[in-house]
Amino acid sequence: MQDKLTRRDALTATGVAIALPFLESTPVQAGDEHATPPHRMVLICSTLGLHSPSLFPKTAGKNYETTEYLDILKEHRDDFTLYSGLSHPDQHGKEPHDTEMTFLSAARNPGLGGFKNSISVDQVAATALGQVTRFRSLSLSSNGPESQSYTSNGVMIPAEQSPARLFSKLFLTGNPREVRRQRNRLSEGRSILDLVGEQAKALNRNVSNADKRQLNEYFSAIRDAELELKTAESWLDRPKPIVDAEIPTDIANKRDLIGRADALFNLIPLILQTDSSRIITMVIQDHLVVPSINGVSAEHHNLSHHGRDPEKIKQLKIIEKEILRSLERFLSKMRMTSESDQRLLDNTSVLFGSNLGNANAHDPRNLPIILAGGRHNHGRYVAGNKDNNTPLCNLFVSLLNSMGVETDEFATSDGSIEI
Amino acid sequence: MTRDILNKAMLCFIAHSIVTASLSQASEPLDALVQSSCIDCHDESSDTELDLTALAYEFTDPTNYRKWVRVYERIERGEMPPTSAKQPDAILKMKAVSFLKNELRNANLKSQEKFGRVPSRRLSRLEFEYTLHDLLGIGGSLARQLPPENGAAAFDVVAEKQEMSSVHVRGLLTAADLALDEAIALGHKPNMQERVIDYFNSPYIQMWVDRPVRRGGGTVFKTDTDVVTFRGENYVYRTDANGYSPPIAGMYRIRLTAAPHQQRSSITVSLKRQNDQQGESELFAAWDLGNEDYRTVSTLKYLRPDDYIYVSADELEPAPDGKVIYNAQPANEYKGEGVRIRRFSIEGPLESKWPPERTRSLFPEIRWQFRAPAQRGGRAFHPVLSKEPAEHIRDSINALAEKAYGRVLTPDEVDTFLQLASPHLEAGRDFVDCARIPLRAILVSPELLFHSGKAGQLDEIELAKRLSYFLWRTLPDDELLELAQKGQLTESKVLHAQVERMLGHPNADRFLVDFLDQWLELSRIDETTPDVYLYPEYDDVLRRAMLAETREFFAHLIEDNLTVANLIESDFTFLNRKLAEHYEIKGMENINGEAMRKVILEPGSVRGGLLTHASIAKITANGTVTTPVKRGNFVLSTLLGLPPSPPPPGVGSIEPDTRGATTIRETLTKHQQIETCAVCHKRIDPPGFALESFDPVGNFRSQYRNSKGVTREINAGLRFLHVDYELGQAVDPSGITEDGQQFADIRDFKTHLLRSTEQVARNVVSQLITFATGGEIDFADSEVIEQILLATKDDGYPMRSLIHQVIASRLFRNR
Repeated sequence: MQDKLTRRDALTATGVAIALPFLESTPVQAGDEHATPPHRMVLICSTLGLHSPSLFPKTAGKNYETTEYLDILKEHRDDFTLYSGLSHPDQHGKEPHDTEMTFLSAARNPGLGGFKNSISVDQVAATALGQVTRFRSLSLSSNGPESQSYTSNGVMIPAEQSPARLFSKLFLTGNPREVRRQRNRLSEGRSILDLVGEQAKALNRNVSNADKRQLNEYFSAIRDAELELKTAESWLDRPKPIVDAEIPTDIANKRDLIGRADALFNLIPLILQTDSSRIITMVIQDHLVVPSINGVSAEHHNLSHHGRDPEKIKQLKIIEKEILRSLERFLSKMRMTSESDQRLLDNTSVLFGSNLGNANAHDPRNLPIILAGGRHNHGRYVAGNKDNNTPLCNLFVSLLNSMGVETDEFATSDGSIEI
Repeated sequence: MTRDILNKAMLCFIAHSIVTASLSQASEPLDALVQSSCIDCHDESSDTELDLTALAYEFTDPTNYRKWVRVYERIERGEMPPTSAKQPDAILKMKAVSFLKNELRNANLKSQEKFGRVPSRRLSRLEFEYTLHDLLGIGGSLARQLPPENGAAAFDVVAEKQEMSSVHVRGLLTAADLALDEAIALGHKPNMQERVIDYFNSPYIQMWVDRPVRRGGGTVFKTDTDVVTFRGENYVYRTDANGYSPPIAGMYRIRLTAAPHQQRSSITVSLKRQNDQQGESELFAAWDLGNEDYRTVSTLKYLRPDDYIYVSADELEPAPDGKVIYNAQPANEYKGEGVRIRRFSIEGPLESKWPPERTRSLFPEIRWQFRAPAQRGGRAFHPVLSKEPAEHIRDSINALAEKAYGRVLTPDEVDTFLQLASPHLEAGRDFVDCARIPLRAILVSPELLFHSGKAGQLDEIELAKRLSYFLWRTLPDDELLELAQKGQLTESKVLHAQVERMLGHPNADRFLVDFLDQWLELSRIDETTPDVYLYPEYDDVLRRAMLAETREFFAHLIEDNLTVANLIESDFTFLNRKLAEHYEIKGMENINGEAMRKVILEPGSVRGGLLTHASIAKITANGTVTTPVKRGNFVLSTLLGLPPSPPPPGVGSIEPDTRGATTIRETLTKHQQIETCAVCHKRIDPPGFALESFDPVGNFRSQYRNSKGVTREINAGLRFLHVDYELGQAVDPSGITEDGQQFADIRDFKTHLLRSTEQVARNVVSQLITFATGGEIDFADSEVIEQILLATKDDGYPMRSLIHQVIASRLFRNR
């Protein structure tokens, strides 16, 4: 009981109050497997890079000197590691920002003829974990339905952009009529897919094309969807966790880039603590509007193409610092949220980075990568080779391992990175 | 007997040997070429992907076939053997290439005959949206429910590149659900009369009129009769805050009476729609307010209940002293331009009866009876059944399936659909809810979603389907189906007449917009926005005009059957007031209003032809800067269909510098100096040099604009009159084409490019075939393309004829 109170206190202090602690709210069958909370991963991408002179220190190792950007995270110095010299190979694609599609998948030459994306690292983890939580994984974005999560056949999983809708999916049960309607639509959907699957089979018999790829893929997609609907239906029977938090209001103002990012960040500790999902990806991106940040009068994307213009670099840095402050607030929350007497941050690997190393030149090498939490060996700056980058996938392999996924490779990896 | 068998076996053996021998004899030149010029690099120990010792002279195997095609292309283009190596004997090379060509053609034809040219494909998400719109009589976005299409595909219909996953399947189910929700309207009959959104007497607007500027008010003011707005995107005018929300999804007529206020330049008044739930916002109509008179305009728009719209303004000039409304209070003393809104009204949903026709047609023979609903928003109309509920549902299944599949279902098929509803009917669930289930199944069924079938000639119905998805992006209409069912559509005269009819139908706009959006990548226009201090002239109004120019231009080529050469150089273009001002066209004083019209260009004008369109300048720029590489690539890949090889891995990027110290041409000199770069860049860069004359928003320029590093407040809808840039280095649009032709500027360059008219025509035909059939161009297809070119050459490859030729071709008529 005493334990519960202190936890509650910690939660309230973060501005998020939870009625049920982790053990009681989790819908997974109770048992000693939850004596130790599970490991989670949160993968965050700010798609326009970080101005590297303001980020990277000159000296590597534990005793790195702080920089303009790292100053913002100084409270967390012992809880994160900064990497340089990491990237995915062969990222010159059709359009310069096509690397947004491959940040988590490392598929080569995005957008060029013959390109097909491949599974993203979060989905590898989600597939390995299976349906142990209400949502196998969640993909969030501050801008539009584009996420960086891709299925095994390279299809994007749409991102959730509305904190209010996300909150209601996670924590609100709805009135009995709505639940009934939802249940009906799910079970109807399943019987429809059953029929449609039979039709697809029949159609496939009538097709003489040697290439039945599409129809076969359709057929297995139907089967997957059926299973997913079935799972969704079974989760309808389990009560959603009750949280003592206000329903967030969506921010309609597209200029409020930071507000939108914060609103999504605020939900992540709740999602993890209630074990609603263990794998989250998030995209922070501007809306091609001028962000409402003091001292900023141009769009983030345009500023990222600063053309070495000092005024533009100045403004770009203002935006990037605000994004890092948003990350800082998130990390603080993750630190202050506790479960089974541990900090939530210790059970969560948080990766923050970008698909561009230098947005001014659309350079996809030398990516800025910060890894926080997850009980890794932190407080370091691990400087890699600028001219001969290490595959970022090596780090992804290590992240998968810490999620309990036994693998020694992912996409373009050629090893792993000690974390 | 034994002897006989032996003899026969012997004969077979001999026959087989002869075949093998003749192939090996014929393949001799190829083998000789391989041995003399290729094998040194392409053997077992090759660093390249090609090992010729492991590649048999056998062309029907799909893997072998693809490898040989690649070999053929590289030899034929003269890329292999590399120029640095010893060149093969010319006659040997010619013999080898012609042998290879023939073998590959035959192999490809055989495979097309056996398997069909195009694999099964699904509707793209846009096609699915259009199809549901037309089947159910609804509107609004549904494609958003499905994941985006593969960006690496030439078109969304290309079967090889299409993806399918459970995300799609669930998206289809959700979209079908939403569509049926909108199609089945059984609530209270809404008030469909014209409703005036009374801005003048709105307490909400009054609140903002009264409120001081420091608390967010003060930007609106009232004259005796009008509300005046001094900026765009003013949420004060949103309909939902002023007492109006669309009662139900449907088509609405929106009328607006407005006048310019304190006018000094052209002013645009526009209507915007926003949906915060869906995260959608769009400008859907805009009009010029040209003189001091009030102008009354109207438009039709499909609206959903959670949409709101508002009156907005663009191109407003600040006060002569540079002040904007925020620092020139009170509003009634402000001297800047504004828009006076006199009257704003919404009429609809435009339905002639209630429940609407679209709902009734889903339930044939059912009468609807009014009963006051128990709760607000509940169902008010209830079915009056004249037979067993299951029989009524049968009717519904039959009616929708016939439209969706273009054929009548067999009773067995109806039964399988009906079975989806039966358990629910027996459980006593509501009739409409039960009927909805099989209808939803029809909307996601493979027969609707897929284009598939047996190899060989398309049957009548398949032909109707391919035709209507090509030109309308939707299901065939009754006329097409009727002709198909009568077996007449395959008659060339009938087919020709139908194509003529279809091109004249409003649905052909979908072809026009989607084909150009994907071929020219116009859909990428919003991917970057130019720096507002460097290019303050770029706004929503200009953006719309840019797109309209290219679309109207292309539509006109089809409409008047004008030659393909117009894509390279034309003596006309399409302009409205805004674009004429932007281009500083001579005689622009006479080009008034927002409507696009054909304008004959002055001799010597830099405009004319696709490459001079502002839309193309915009999509080929990287936001604020232009690079000749990207634009050169556009000319080669998109216009000519001859894409250069991708850059070698690990090649660096150019870091833009807008401070004005170096020009892009100086940065690119290393492309000429380094041999490995020069190989490709002497092709890529020159067209881009000619296009340097156009800045990222399509202005003709002779000097680059440099940033002054100024920052200032930007206000939506206001003209930005400050010039926060300075003119820097001169643009050098001259160059030498790959084949050594000098050009001084874009005009010169276009003259040279005209010599490639046939190649542009070849590319246009290829693009049309790919878009029409969903199959990319394969080896044996090129002879069909050449036939089309030959048949249209004397007329200069006119656009409408090309479309007819494509549709008449074997590639279109066969799977």
